[in-house]
Amino acid sequence: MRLFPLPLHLTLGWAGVLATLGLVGFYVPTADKTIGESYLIFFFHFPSAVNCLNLFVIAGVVSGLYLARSSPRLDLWAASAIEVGLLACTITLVTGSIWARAAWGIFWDVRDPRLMTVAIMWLTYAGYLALRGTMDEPVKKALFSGVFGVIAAINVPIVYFAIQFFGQSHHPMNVDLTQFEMRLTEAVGATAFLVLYTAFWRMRFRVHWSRHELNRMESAFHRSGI
Amino acid sequence: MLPREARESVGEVNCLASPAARLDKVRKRFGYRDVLRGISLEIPRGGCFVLTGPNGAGKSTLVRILSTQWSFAEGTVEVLGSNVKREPARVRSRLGIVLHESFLRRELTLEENLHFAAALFSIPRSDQDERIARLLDTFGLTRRRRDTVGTFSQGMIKRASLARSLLNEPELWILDEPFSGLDPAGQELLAKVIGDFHQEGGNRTVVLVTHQLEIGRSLATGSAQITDGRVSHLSLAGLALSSHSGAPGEEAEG
Amino acid sequence: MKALPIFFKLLGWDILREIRRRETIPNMLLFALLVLFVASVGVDRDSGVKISSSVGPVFFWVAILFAGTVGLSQSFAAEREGGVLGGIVTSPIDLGTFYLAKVAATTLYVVVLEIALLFVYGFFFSFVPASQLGGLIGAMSLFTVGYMGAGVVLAAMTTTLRGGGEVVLRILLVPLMIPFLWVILRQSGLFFQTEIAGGALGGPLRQSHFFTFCVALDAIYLTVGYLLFPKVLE
Repeated sequence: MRLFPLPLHLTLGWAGVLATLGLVGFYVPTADKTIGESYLIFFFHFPSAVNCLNLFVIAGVVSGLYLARSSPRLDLWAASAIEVGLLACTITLVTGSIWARAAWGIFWDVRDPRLMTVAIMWLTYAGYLALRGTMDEPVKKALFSGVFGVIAAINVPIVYFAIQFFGQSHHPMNVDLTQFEMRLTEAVGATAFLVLYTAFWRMRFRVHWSRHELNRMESAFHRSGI
Repeated sequence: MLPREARESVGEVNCLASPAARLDKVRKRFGYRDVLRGISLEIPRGGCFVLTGPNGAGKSTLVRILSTQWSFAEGTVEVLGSNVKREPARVRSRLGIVLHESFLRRELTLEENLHFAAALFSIPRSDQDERIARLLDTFGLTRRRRDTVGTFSQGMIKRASLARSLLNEPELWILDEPFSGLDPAGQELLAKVIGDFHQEGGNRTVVLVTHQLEIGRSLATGSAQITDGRVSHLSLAGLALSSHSGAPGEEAEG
Repeated sequence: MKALPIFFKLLGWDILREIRRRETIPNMLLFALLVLFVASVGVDRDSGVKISSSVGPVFFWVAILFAGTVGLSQSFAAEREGGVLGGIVTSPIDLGTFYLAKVAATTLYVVVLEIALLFVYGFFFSFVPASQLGGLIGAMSLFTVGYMGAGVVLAAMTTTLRGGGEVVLRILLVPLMIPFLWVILRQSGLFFQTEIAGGALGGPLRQSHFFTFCVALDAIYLTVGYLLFPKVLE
């Protein structure tokens, strides 16, 4: 971590997003006959969706590790991953909605399985944060969050399977990127958001960890009776 | 240091020689505060070991760890020669526990509650009735055995949970403030039962947490004072108290 | 330690307590009744049969889903009263066995609720054809096992929270159960002989697919619960 300090990590992430914005604005051709200009939001929508899923899965694995090892660091890593995952999930839903309005004429389609999958994941992990919010005792908080983190992660493929496998979606799995410019922009966007979200993840962990250390020191200070 | 297998087999053979409980650098955290700060303590077999100390010193936490109800972050705890993390069931089947909660179901009668507890400890059906009748008699509960526990007073609930804790004929009896809520007759009765429990042979041990120093002094064969998550005074003969409380007794730094 | 006799003992005691207290099932039933009653306002008598039959089953399942959380937290709150749970934790039984007994007991209560609710549903909306009753009750039972399998673990956690944590239990459990409920709802079109919600969810699955799906989910939730439950009680 010393080799790749957080400020640099964060700067690279934002620079990547700016670069994606530039590519989308001035480089990528917009004249696609089938989906029109609105497809440009894809370059922000898709990386968020993928990273959201990654972060949730990682959080599940780290939660499982916490249950095995009981190290407070692991709990805070898992919680941070879910916070950032939820942010990515929200961005996915919002950009998706905007795109849906432009492409299909509606903000939300109750019948679309892929939309429902993301919405259910959002609700599940919002529940995770609600659960954490109700507890003060850090050991109990970590234990219960760990248990729910594991259950929620196991539920992700169930949601996917139950809804995707049986239902039919008119949400495209991937936009048909025919030209080189499109594929380049997609690659830049995906990398940029990966870097940015991992930087956010580290940032959130630092905040949590500092707060944890601060509380510990404060309680040791009170105990020493100075 | 012997390899683990060898140590374990030694533990099996010398079961009676092992202490009733041994804590080694045990740490338990609540919030960001260490309630037990690396406590080490050995409670010998036989006799009545009294734990004293001010409120919030960690006595109840220590008792809950000994009774395998709570886990702990660091250190090792051995009860009756078995590691509580590795062989919890083996420890639990030989413990009798009385804590602030009664462990009794309000909507069941006293007798049903005792049968329920007996089932949890896998006590053979043939022994159950006889043991329950004897314990009900000991604690003066026979008349109320068909009443639901929800109708009991505090003192009666205390007596009932004392009876429950002895059902499995434990080798180690852990009592957290058992005298609170009991009337004078009940306190006298309990003091006598505690005395009989460890004096009747079988090398049985009592761990008693109490603030009532008079009773504590009359019962104690050994004691430890817990202050701020550590053992501040230890005595292997009678009750030890810190010097400023003015009580006599052998004192040692923990 | 023989696990099976302990399992039946624990289940038996749980049922005995429920008989004495008469609390969990009646409260769940009242809650579910309220949901159905409020929903029944939407039935239009003149042109209404179609509307009620396509949305009715949704209300029926929503009522069960929410009533189930009421039952779970009540059943667990009773366990925490007087520290009964502490008595079980400090006894030498395997906590996994206790988990399975608790799942069995709550499943039983919720299935009783579901069967009772079927009559109420028939009264407010329309009766389920007798030929479909067996399939419906089977589907209900399969759903309830998985639902309680996840629910018991979560209820064990949330009942320790401030104020009983009933709201948190719902926030956690309902999203987890949506996919399962979704598939059950699609299948319900068959049992209630109607097209659910105008076919928005898609039609019923093949019988064997549906059965495999339910059993697989039950197995997943029970395994996860069996492994995690002892951790929660630490």
